Amino acid sequence: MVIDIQDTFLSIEWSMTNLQDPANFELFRRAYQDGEETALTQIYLIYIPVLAARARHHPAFQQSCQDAVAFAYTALGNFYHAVKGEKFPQKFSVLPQVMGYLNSCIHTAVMKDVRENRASELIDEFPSPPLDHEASELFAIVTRLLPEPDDRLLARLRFVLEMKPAEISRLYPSIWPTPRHVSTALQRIRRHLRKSLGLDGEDDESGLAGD
Amino acid sequence: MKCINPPALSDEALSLALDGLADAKTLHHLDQCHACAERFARMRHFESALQTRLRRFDCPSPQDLTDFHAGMLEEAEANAIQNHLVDCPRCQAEIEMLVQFLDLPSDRATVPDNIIPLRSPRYVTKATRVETFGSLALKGLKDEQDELSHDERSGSARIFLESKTVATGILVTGQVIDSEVDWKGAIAEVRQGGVTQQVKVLDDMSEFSFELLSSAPITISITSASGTTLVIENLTFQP
Repeated sequence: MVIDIQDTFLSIEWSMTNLQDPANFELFRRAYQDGEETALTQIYLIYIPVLAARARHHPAFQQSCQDAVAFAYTALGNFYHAVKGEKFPQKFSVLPQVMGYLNSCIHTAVMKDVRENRASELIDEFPSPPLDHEASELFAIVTRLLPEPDDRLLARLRFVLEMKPAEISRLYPSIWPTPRHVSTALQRIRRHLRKSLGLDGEDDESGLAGD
Repeated sequence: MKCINPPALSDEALSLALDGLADAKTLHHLDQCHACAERFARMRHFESALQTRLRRFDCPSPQDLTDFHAGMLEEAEANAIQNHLVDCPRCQAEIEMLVQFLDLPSDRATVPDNIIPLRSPRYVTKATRVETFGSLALKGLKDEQDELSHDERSGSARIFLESKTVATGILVTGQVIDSEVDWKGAIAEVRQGGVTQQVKVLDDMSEFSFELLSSAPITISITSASGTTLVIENLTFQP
């Protein structure tokens, strides 16, 4: 079904109440495949409120630091760059496919924000980490310093994936039956890494150091 | 500095405290003893330094995970992500969250928008005005009486805007110059009174243009393919 863009321009209210109408697929096709800016403007007018409402239902929305409308704009921007031109007809043939991927773009926007906020929290807390290595290089060093496979796994779970002891023992109960087992193993790893990476300082006042 | 209440806390006790598993006695000791508290702070700093540097360094981006789930990646990329997912509970959880999100019914009632943003996201930059002048330095157009040029700076980008009175209102043209971000193909969205008026795609010279029917203040948001957004707020053009 082909619709006239000028008609659509005058029919925002109609479009808002017929979001699942197959005719809207033609609007998307013109906007993203043909690059018609009038159609693109209509997409923004119609779908920003829809996508913003959807973003508010995302399971990680409460952990994010943006309002829902900002996520809707980011999602539409990412959508454009992902499917413009000839990619559009290759990926989509009906409106539900388009809406599914648009909703995925909302998820992407929220998760990107959540990940970056966590990273900035860490940087704000400790602005100048004393470790100069690039991440992959540093993790290669950590891996070399920990010959036991379980220690390497635990270092990855804790330092790369930031998992808490309770999460780790739930995931690997045969290796670490309780969170306390995780913490005990981590203590040994932490001490070894601090010493080996030259960051031990004077912290072993307890006299308990030494492997 | 010596522990005020020997014996000093062991490394194991401090490690438990770091993991949120310390008992009340340990927490009380940490509260009273500066020496042990300082050791604890150093351990915590080391932990955070490691996490800051290593945090999900080898995880696919959220966009790649989404495209993987949508079956939009090349085979090699999809295989790499499939292999990563086997050992990464965080990415597994993100995929599960995506599935859960996509399964939500579309007609679910809207919840109130009562979330207060805690800070501006790092990839959104607001422009600040640096100059307003009458000549059109960038594009070399004639310096006509009814033309104005604005020069906005935002992050590494410099945004040049020109306005010109035309029969239907005000014609605004713009260009983004940036040494770091590629703005070709970016999307410029113009809002007036909070409502989208026009959406334009920046051309190969990172230029765009739009017509305004009224002189009410506008906000321009320009989003690059890499996801960086420039926001120019409260711009006014007089006819």
